[in-house]
Amino acid sequence: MKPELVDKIIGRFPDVAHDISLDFNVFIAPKDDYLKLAEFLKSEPDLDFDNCSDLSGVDYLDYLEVVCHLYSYKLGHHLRLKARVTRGEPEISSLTSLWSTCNFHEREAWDLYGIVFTGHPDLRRILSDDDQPGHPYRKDVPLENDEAWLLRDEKTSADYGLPIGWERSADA
Amino acid sequence: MPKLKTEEIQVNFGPQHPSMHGVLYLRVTLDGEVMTDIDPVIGYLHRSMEKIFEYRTYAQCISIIDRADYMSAYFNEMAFVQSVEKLMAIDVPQRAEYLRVILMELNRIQNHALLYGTLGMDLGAITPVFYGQREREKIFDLFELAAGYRMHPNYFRVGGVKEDVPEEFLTGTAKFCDDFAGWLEEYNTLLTGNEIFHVRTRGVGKIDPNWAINSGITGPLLRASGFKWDLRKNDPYSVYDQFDFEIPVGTQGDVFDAYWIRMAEMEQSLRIVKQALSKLPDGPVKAKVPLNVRPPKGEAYARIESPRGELAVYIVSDGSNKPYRAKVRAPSFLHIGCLPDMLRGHLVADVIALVGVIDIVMGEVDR
Amino acid sequence: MGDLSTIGLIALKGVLALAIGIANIVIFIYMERKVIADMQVRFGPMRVGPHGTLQPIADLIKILNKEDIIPAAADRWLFILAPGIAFVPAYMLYLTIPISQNLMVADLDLGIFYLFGIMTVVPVSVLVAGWASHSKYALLGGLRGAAQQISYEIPLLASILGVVMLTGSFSLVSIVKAQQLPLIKLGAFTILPRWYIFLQPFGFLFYFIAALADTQRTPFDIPEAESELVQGYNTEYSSIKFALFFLGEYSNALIISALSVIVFFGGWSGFGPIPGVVWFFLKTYAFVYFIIWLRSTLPRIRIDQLMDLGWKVLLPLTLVNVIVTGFLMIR
Repeated sequence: MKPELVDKIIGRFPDVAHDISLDFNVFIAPKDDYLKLAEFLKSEPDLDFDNCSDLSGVDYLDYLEVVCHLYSYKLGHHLRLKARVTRGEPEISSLTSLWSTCNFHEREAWDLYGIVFTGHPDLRRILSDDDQPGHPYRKDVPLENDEAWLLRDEKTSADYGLPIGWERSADA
Repeated sequence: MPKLKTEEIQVNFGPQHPSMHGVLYLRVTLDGEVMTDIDPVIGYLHRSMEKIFEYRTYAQCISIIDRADYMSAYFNEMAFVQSVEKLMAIDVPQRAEYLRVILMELNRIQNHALLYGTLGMDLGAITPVFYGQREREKIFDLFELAAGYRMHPNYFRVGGVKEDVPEEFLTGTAKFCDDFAGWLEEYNTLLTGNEIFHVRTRGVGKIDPNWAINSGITGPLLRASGFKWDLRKNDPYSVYDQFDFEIPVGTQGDVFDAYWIRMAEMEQSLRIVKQALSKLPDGPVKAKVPLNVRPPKGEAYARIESPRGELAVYIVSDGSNKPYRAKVRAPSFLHIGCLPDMLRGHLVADVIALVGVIDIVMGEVDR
Repeated sequence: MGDLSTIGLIALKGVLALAIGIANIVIFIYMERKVIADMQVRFGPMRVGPHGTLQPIADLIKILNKEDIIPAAADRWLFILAPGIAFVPAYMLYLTIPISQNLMVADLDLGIFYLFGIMTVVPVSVLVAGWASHSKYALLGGLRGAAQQISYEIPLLASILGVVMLTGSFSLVSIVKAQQLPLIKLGAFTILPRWYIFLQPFGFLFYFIAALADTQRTPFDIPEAESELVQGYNTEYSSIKFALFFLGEYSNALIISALSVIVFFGGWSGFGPIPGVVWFFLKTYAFVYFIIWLRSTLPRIRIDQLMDLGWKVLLPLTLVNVIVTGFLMIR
């Protein structure tokens, strides 16, 4: 990606941290700027990121990270957008209104990591059981179940006010 | 006269169903024969592959990731291996790259032959499945010569491939290339020119290119809607820039275009295989990398063009010999997410045709 | 006394006709599996008996051994009645098909009329089966099947009307006898007999399409579309009831082949020393082969396209055929 575009982004959003990782420019946005930065990246004509290729969650033990890979079909550049949440406050805005790709990806990140995406039209569990307590891919969940683990007490979707199973959110 | 009140009924397609491709559960709300709403429920094949990756070395991960998209195993391995090679900045020897390309393109042909059969079967033609299967058996024999396995080859390694191919593989592939054109002709005579097939598939499920880009549709479906985008040409990886081939593009994005593009892609893949065979260089097949690799700390994202779309693997490494996080970006996962918008307002019979042509493999959807 | 022996004779002929009919069904089932297998580059049944010839009997024994389940929510008496409605009319038709000049059970004056009248009862069974099963799949399949069959009854009958007009009678034997007259003669030698395929080619075309749709054979086999609704209207049926549906369907397919031979291809007439019966069966099985060939090659038509074909295309065309035939006859 051209350096002047990078400068443009940092100029507009000074709180965003920038890094270079192999062939990707990485932008780590604080929670409040995350949605605004994503809108800027999509709507600005020199940037024009029209495709969100992948959105995943990663568990670094102090924080959970949302990693989003953005590509532009027309202009040919790409970048990686990250945001961090903590286990105590796992809410972050959803990007589904910008790219519909994020719909299923964010459901998966909620299901497996416990990151709550506010503004998502239909945040239900997607890969694991509907009433599963806990979030399986987190680092403190063991690979194989044992008795103590099975009997633990964890928040389920209902504790967050989110639908379980096949009922959808009221505004779905 | 009061309007006749009809009730919507909810029908379950799957998860066990004679025609669903894998364990996909579609909750469909029907108003007569027209679908008003569709809710895909997935996760029946979830094996928590990505969590298992965090507990296995990179070499062990390769045999596991074969099983993600089990129909096109070589592509899974390629995405994973490319990601690690990017991270470690490894130079893969040319012979290994050419062998990888040959095997991947053969895999693409095999995959599209399967789609040909299953799409025919979904629409009621019971014979194409057997013709497609005949060719797939020949390709599986070639895979067995190269890697030792038919379906889950576990052949690519970080830095190259596992070992060199025997001579019979090269002669067998050459013979396959010579015979294939005749078989493709047979396929086209049976199904592509059929009037009933046209009537069932033309105009069904049109996809608009802008909506497709936004929804994350990639691969043959995106090309069917008219947008010319193929990662082998637009963002070349491996040695694809050294081959001469074309990208077929559709016009309307309906089922027929998506089907016909795959038939054309089979031909183009054959061209690539022939060119690769003739240009195959000598040399080592693996770079001097230990089997138990320890990539440096960092992250990498490598994407390739699999028969279904854009397949990518995102690897985060913490310096040890096991990945800290390995995420597989599966094209079928997003295609299922697009199903509700694609299918609303269509008839039940069209649903079957559309779900068939999207070419979903549940292994990569659920991982 | 005379009456009793006549009744006894007719009863005997009836049983024989039934037996021949069932034997032909068995041959049809075997033939279908072998022909489709051959077109799909495989062998088909090979193990049960020499080259799999006893396969249909093995299938029958298997089906009869299954547990006869009636779903708890189903309408019990309708559920049991439906296979009967499918099976009995199909076999009643065997009593009217003449396989040779002298071999028939009864030559009704209303031959064709009676035949189609009985055939019209079959859609009722589909509807009853779909409804009585109390299952969504079965209901959808039953509605589709009944709509399909009822829609194609009229074109089916109308396509034969041309032949009836040319013969002047509904009786099947008279139709065949009328076809034995010569069309093109060379002295005393008949080059081309007066088969109605030459006089009513379009009638045959319409008849064939309508017959395929009426008996739910590919490309019109929507009610049994496995890939859509599991098994359609007979999803909930098992064991002997399922077998009855199947036998009824195969019997219908055989009847329409036999009927097309009688009405358009001269019935039992042929040349040379070969007896008429053999000619009749040869021609019928040629049609059966063609029907099986269509099944293994063609995909399925969608239900709304099927309805369009039946009502908007076939019905007007068959009526035009009747009018043109009448016009040409008067002239």
